[in-house]
Order: sequence, then structure tokens, then C-alpha cells
Amino acid sequence: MNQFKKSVVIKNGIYGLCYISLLVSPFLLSGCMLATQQDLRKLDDNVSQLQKNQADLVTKMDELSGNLQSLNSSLESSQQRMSSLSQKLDDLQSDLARRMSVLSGQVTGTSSPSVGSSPGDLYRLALNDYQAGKFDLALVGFRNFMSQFPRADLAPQVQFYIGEAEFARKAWADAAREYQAVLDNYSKSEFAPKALYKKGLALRQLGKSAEARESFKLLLKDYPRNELAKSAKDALK
Amino acid sequence: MKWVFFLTAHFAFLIFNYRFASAADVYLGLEAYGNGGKALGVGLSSFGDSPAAKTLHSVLREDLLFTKLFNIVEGGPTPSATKIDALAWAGVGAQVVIGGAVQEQGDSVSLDVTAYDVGTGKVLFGKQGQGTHSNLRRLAHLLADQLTFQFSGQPGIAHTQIVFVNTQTHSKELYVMDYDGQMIIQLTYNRSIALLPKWSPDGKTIAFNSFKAGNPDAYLLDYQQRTVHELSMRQGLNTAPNWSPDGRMLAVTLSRGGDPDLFLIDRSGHILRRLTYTPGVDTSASFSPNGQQIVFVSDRAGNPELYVMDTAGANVQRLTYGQVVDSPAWSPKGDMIAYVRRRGGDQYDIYVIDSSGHNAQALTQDSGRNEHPTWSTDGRFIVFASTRSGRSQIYIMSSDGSSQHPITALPGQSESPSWSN
Repeated sequence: MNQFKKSVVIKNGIYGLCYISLLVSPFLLSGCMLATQQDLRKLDDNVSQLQKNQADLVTKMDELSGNLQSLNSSLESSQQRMSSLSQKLDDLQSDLARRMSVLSGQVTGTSSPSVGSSPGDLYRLALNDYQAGKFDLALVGFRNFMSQFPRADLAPQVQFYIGEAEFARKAWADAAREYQAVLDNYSKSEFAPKALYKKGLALRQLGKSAEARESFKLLLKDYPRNELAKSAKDALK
Repeated sequence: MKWVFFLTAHFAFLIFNYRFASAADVYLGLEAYGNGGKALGVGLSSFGDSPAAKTLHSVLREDLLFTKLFNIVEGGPTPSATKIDALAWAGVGAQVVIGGAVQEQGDSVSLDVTAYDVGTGKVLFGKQGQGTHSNLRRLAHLLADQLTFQFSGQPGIAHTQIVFVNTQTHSKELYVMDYDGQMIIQLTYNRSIALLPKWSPDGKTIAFNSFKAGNPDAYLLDYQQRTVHELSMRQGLNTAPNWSPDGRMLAVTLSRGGDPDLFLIDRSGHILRRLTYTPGVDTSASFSPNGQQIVFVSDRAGNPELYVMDTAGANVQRLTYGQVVDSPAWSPKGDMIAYVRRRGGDQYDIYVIDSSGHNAQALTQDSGRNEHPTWSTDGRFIVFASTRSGRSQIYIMSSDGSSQHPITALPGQSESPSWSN
């Protein structure tokens, strides 16, 4: 009888404990939950702070990028003005040389052979022919320029255009050779990477794909930040 | 009904033969008349009194006047079959005289034209053409071109057509008209937005943009079959397709979900080459007539400015500084580029500049929005859209900006013209 009662009491006690703990548990858990909610709110605040910081950074980066673009544009504009001045200087020099030669001819009483047109004029005449599709004529004009004014400001550009005119005539081997002349004689000019790229294209047209790849690889190596680098990378695919 | 009309107009049956085929006399330069660039005095006698004869006469007269190569004078005596009263015609200022006879039989109309030299009073050459009552204007246009070439050595443009966008149906649709603004025909009925049409060099296809599939896509319209094929339906922009001079490639702006750059594609829409890689927008490409260069608009430096590059995408040269520009078009002569420059507020003007970026000149000013210039095939005229009269209409001017006159008076807005070859 006692043992039976004992087991019943124990059983009831256990049930009671379970029941009480079930009653109490929400409060305990909610205490935990309260703690978790606070943590979550803290996290949330931190995250939104991070997001704000990130947004600020993005805005600053956009500003920087805009400033950089604007600086680049000013640089381009200055470079263009300098180049234009330099060409005017060439034209003036050539004009002066012509006048001196005429004067000296008058002083010594001999007639001197008249020096030809200024670099600017020669270039424009040949360029007009090129634009009108008269590539053979343009080549004569450009080559004439190169023989007369190999050190002029326009010389690298003219040599590059000789390559372009050969390229337009589909004379791929001649084009490659003329582009190489830009690389050999005017390696520091802005036309060197352009000549390297076009040389690669010309070699590819000739079927010399291995040599073409060498040109593109050289472009990537020597001018990694040039605007043609991406084109060269695509060409190597 | 319109179809029938159009087909007969377009497939006019024309025979031109030389009645007096003397090899030495067949081509005459204007210099032969000692004009040295001045207009040739052309006496135009009446072709007859029937409505058909009067139409042919007036269209021919307008076409010859448009070229600015001829002074048309009338009032001399009608020539006989073999000679003219040279004295009477010289008195009114003619150096050549053109006489014509029209014969009508049923629907068919035939025109016999004879050109006389006032100096000698003799016949120079004859031309004959045949058509129907529904395509009289085209008959006259083709004859005018023959006469223009015969007297000046320059090909005529009276046969050319202009495709453009108009909004009178409350959608932007494509329309085509003769270069004189007549014979306007609607080409698309998509009830959507059609933009930036461009004639192919052979005149058989029109490349254009349309939103009819819910995206700025590029299409090709077969002008003879009147069917539309998809050119580029890629994600994002497929805008401003423009033809290479050999008609085999097009330059187009693709964004492909990213940054709008220029690409070369073939007529099936396959990408042949990527041309630009810069951040910012590169668009509005136009090929040079030698097929080696492309002028385009890029905002890589902040503002939309003009740039030139070769067709490999290399040798990019900047043409304009401190301007806000759009829609460049390279002249068929190769020397100049026409473009639009925004002068502040709502003022847009047509400018020309040479291909090295020098000698920029305004061709329009103080006349509202003037946009989308394209050249005639001889490089002597420019067609563009202007809002100077209120609504946007299509205008034509000489390449030096003179003689600006409207050729449309349509309801809605007329924009974005392109001139055929």
C-alpha cells in the first residue's frame, strides 16, 4: 500500500513538475527571446549603419570617377591644343624657310628652287584624297610628306595613315610593314599602340596568326592600360 | 489599293534610248557653254495641253530647278522636229532648248524629248520614255536625271526618296516619299514607336528601331517585299543601326544589359566585332564613304561629343570640345560631317565640321530644333527635321545652309529623315 502510494506521489510529482515547467517555460523562453530580440535590433542598427556607410562610399566613388573623367577630358583638351600649336609651329617654320630661301635667292641673284607647301597643307591634301577613297593618291601624298618632314609633329600620324591606306587597299603585307615603321621610328607617340594593334589585324589577314598573336600580346604587355588593351584581349580569344 | 498604286509607281516600265547616238556629242559639260560654274540657260517649251503633258512638264521643270544647275526660261516658240528658232530662244536667255511631245493610248503615256543647241540651232540628242498615268511623276524624275547627267556630268537625284517618321496616327510609324515631298506612303503599321530609319546603300532595305516587341530592337524592312525581319533583338538597347558603304555591315549600339557600346554586325545580326569598350554611352555611328572610318557620339569625357575611329575600333580621335552633340552624318564626298549641336535651352542647330575637327560652321540658327541631318547622295544637299514652323516638318537645304525649305506639311510630327542613294 505505501509503495503504491509512493509511486503515485512520485508520478504525480513528476507530472506536476512537467506541468509547472510548461507553465513557467514561456516566461523563461521569452526572457531568452527578449535577449535575442535586443540582439537582433542591435544587429539591425549595425547593418543599416553599414549600409549608410556603403552608400556614402559609393557616392564618393562616383564623385571621384566623375572628377577623374573631367580631369582626363581637360588633359585631352590641353593635349589637343598643344598638338595644334606644334603643327602651327611646323607650318610657320616651313614658311620661314621658304621666305629665307626666296630672299637669299634675291640677294645672291640666283633663283632658288621653291620649297613646297607647309606640312599642314601637304597633310590636308593627302587626307582629303584618303577620305574621298583615293587611297593610291593619298599614299603618294603621305609618302611625300614623310620624305620632306620626317620630324614634324604630324609625322607619326602620317606614317600611321600610310599604314591605314595600305590596309584600306587590302595590301596586308605592306600595311604591316608600314605600321612597323611607326613602332620603329615613333615608339613614344600615341600612334605606337594603335600601329601595334593594326599590325596584328593585318598579319591576321595574311594568315600569320602566330605573329598576329605576338603583336596583341606585346600590346597587352607594353600598354596594359591603353584603350586598345581590351580589343587586344578580345582578339586573343 | 495603295499597294497597287505603289507597285505600279515603283515598277514603272521605262525605256530610254538615244535617237541620235553621236558618240562625241552625247556628253556635254556645262563648261562647253562657257558657263564655268554658272547655271545653264535651259529653254523648256510646252509638251502639250493634256493634264498628263502638263504634269510631266511641271515635274521636269521643278526637278531641273532643284539641281541649281539650270536657269529655266520659257516663252520661246515651240520647236519643230529637227530645228528651233535659235534667235527667239537666245533672246529669252536659253543656251539649250528642250522640246517634248506626249502621246497617250489608254493608260500608257509616252514622252519623246529632244534637246537643241541654241548656238547652232541643231538637235543635240533625244530621249524617249514610257509609263502609265499613275507614275507620271517618276517618269519625269528619271528623265530629269538623264538630262542633268547629260548636261553636267553629275548624276541627278530626282529619282531619290526619303524615309522618315511621322506621328499623325498617334504612333510613330515609318513613311516614305519622293525627294520633293510628293507620293507619301506609309510603310509600317505597328502602332508602336518606330525610330531612326536608315536606307541601305542599294536602296532595297531600311534599317530601323522599333519598340513593337517591348524593347528597343533593330529591324530590317525589305522595301520591295514590304516585309520586316529582325536584325538584333538582344537584351537592352539595339539602337541606331547604320550601314557601311558596301551595305554588308551595320554599326549598332548594343547595351546587352550593361554599358552601351558600338558593335559591327552583319545583315543577319551576328556580331562581327566590338568597337568600343569605354564606360559611358557610345552611339549614333555613321560610316565614312571610303568605308574606313566611323564618326560617332560618346559621352566618355562627360558631355556627348563627336569622335572618329577606324572600323577596327582603333585610332579614336576626338573632334569636338565643349559642345553637346548628336546624330552625325558623314558627307558622301568624304570631306565634311554634319551633326546637331545643342545651343542651350531648346535650341538645336545643324553644324558641319571637317573630319579633323576643324572649321565647324552653323548651317541653321534661331529656328527652333533642327535635328537628324542626312546627306543627298551627291553630297550637295542635306535633309533634316525642323520645328521652326511649330510642328516638326522635314526640310531640305544646300550643303552650305542656303535655300532652306520645307518639303512636308503633314499633321503630327515628322522627324528623323534618311535620304536614299
